[in-house]
Amino acid sequence: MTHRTAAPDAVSRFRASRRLLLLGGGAALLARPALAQAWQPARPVEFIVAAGPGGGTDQFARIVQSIIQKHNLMRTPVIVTNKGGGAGTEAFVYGRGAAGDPHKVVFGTNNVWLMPLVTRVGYGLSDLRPVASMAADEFILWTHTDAPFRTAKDLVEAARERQGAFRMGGSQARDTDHILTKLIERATGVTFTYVPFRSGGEVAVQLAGGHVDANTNNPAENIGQWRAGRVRPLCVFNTQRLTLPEKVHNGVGWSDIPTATEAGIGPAEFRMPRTVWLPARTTDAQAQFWTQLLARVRETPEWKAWLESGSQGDLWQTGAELAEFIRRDEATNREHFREYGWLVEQG
Amino acid sequence: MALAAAAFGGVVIAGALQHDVGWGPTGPGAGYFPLRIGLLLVGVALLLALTHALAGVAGRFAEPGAMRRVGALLLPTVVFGAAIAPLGAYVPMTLYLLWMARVQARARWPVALAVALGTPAAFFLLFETWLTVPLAKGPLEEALGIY
Amino acid sequence: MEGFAALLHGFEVALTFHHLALMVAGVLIGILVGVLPGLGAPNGVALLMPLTFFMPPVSAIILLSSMYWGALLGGSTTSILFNIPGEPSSVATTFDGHPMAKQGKAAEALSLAFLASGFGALCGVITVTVVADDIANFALRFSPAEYFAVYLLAFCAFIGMGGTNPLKTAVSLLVGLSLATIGMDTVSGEMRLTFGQDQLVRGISFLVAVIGLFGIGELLATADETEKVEGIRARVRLAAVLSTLAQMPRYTVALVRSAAIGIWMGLTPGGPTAASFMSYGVARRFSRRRDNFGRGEPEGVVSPETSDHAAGVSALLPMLALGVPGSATAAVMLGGLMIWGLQPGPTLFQDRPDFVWGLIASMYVANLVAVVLVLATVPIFASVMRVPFGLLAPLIMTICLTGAWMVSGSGFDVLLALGFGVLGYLMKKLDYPIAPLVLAMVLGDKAEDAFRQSMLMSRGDLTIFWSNWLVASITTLALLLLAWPLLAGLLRGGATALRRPAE
Repeated sequence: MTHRTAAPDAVSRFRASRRLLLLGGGAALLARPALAQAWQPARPVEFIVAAGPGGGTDQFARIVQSIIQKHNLMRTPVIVTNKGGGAGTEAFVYGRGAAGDPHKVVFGTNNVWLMPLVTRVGYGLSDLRPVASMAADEFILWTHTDAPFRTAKDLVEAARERQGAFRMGGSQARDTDHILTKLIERATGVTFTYVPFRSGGEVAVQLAGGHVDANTNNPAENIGQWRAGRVRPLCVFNTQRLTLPEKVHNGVGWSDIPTATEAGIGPAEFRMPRTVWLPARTTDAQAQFWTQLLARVRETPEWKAWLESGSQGDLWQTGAELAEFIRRDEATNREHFREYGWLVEQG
Repeated sequence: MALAAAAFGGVVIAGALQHDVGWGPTGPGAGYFPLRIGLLLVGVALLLALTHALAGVAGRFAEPGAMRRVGALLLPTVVFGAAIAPLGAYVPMTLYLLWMARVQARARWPVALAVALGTPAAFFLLFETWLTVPLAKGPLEEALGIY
Repeated sequence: MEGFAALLHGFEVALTFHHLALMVAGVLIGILVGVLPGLGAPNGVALLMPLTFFMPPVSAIILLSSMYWGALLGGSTTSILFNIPGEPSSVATTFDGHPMAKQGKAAEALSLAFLASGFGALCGVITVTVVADDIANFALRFSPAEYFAVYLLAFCAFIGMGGTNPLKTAVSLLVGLSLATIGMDTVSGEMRLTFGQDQLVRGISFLVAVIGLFGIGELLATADETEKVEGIRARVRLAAVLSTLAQMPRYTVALVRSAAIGIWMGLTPGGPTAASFMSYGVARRFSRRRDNFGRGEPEGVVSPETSDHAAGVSALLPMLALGVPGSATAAVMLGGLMIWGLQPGPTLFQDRPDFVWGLIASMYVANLVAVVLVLATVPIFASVMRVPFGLLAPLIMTICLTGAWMVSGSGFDVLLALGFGVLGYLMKKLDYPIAPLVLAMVLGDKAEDAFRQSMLMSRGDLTIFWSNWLVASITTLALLLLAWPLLAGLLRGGATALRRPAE
């Protein structure tokens, strides 16, 4: 970013000096390194949601907050703020400005590392430190009940015949739904007309009303319409079938949805990790604290109930494993985006 | 004013030209509407400026006393607003209210102090403690460890 | 009358002591967040959300929806008394409400606003009761083309040949449209007009603009006008409320028309803000006292208020039935529903009738509670108004700037609000109308998105806006409204031309 204003710099400089001060004070008080390991938040903590209120990411942060409060996992209070501007980049830019502050925790998805690839943003991946990935949202190919196709294969063939006029709905441009649509195109060789809307909920209604032909919504976004018998799942983009035993509509349930491989289309797997981040220049001890706290959140029945209610998968990754996952995922997507002509060089 | 609007229109056009301004097979591109809006704005604003110039509407914008009163309210407020980000909300708020109450409104000291100290205190209790909405914090809050 | 029995059962749920107490608490908190600019109902709902995790879903939704009604009313209070719309949807109330207050008719304006709100809410909830089962099916008919048509209708209803210079109106409108495009573009995913500035990525917040244009701009204009501004005497005595109540029948036409607009915009995706603007525009267009609009015309208070509440109330049902929020507040509540373990969607009505009908019944009761409570708070605000301007102005400034900060916790927004304040002052001074700018900011980007989505779906074919009876009738109505001054002129001309030969 060449056009950046002076303000964020000033802020980060200021925060940095403050951090030195704090650390200096801490070191003087707690001379033993063993104690310095057990870092604890000293002030109210801010959870920054990289999405507007109401969606999956917002729920993610608020569920974690409510579990921490309910089970008294932390002494200091937690404030949740939404910074959903620019498809979440607002939150990450804020995280960059809070470098070195372990009281700011950012909640996002894979958009943390995908957004800088497709649009000019005011942060880089090095400005944030990954703490954990806590869940993975599934993607399902849906169509409306009146549509003639019964399987994913039929749908792809129908789309091939309509030569690009097949309407695929999704939320946001160049975001997960769009990426998945592109991946299906790559795997099957058909083209869709991708129509971006503002949220998954909107897309669900557009499909139920028959205004688009298909969508790739997450389970939670479409289940209401499925239960009412207005939409129908065709395949899930996971190597294994979903495990929830519940039968949703007409005796068909989550575990009856074929995988993409079974249905004969690709990609075989596509999931969206739900991730938690700290600003850069926080210490290992601080990251350690949050990792352990989130690990305890994961053990609670409320967390499990939340995962189940949206039939999200468990995806617990931390530390080096998570960093490696992000590196690989970023590299793959960078390749694909270059092919689509989406790639934006950060100036 | 009309010229300022025209200049803003120019900025909009410049921004729009960074995107696809055409009407492709799948509808208008990202820059299509901003470009047209910018062009229209420039056009209308220039027309407006022209009519003003032709009509010879010079006229005093405001009487000097009014300008002074507006300035007396606006300038301290701008200083206050600019100080919020670096210094936090509370310290500038106290000083601003003290200045406005004591110097501008010529209130007596007890009243001025009550306003200047009472308001931040009330804000703190209302927003931070009760509604848990964080206001801006600066070095003083940091030093006191409130934040 | 299956619905009626269900409603009675709903009242059993809503009228417990516990739930009444929650309503009172919710309404009071709502009035508070509604009064504070920048801290609107969506924030209020988000703040109360953690509390509701430990409640049964019915209690939780009653608390949150009561807060919403309180916030809508609180927003009107500050609109009228200080010209600061606490909520986006009460912007239109300032146009005539504040002039009325300045003329010393604050009590009348407030009572009118609250009573009209009450009426709007009542109409909304009755509609909701009657059509609850069919709402989901109706709302499903809305594709982007219909969305665009609805936005176009709101635009056309409001923008007409108002009294002011049409060139100035156009400038104001175009500036608003430009501001609306800043930030990320939904359809292409590109950042527009940000010029690489991180601060602009999230777009220009509508709330920040409104705080500046109205709140700060008004203070500057007031400072300009006179050395010493007399406080507005707003004392709401019971007598004033009653006499206003007695006058209400005079506004029957406005009330019914505005309620209809509000309900329509609430059930369709237009939302309360668009509804209040549209209703104001329509009222001005068809009023006999058109010239009095903007100078303290009571009908200009009644119309937007009625629509605002009718829309706010009726927008809640599509949210439950479809899972698509009609407003930012509804979006937060929707998130809450899922956290409480409810699945919004068409089957919610069958799965959880106690919840749905408890909510509907609570809307009757809570709106009544809200109107009574908000009338009770007016003396407090009225006493605030008696503070000398020299002290009051900096206090309101402080609230405005703090509000601007709270929108997204950024110092840039504070400066932006000040900038908009100066702009608002200049516009007022030079006789540029502010309302078109605000309306364009609210609807501009949504309308553009809907238009481009429609174009994607029809592959660039404009006839999509006349492709079925629903979208065709809305589009045509919108264009008719836009052309109304011209048509009215033609008709009048035609009539005189016909009459002349007879003479």
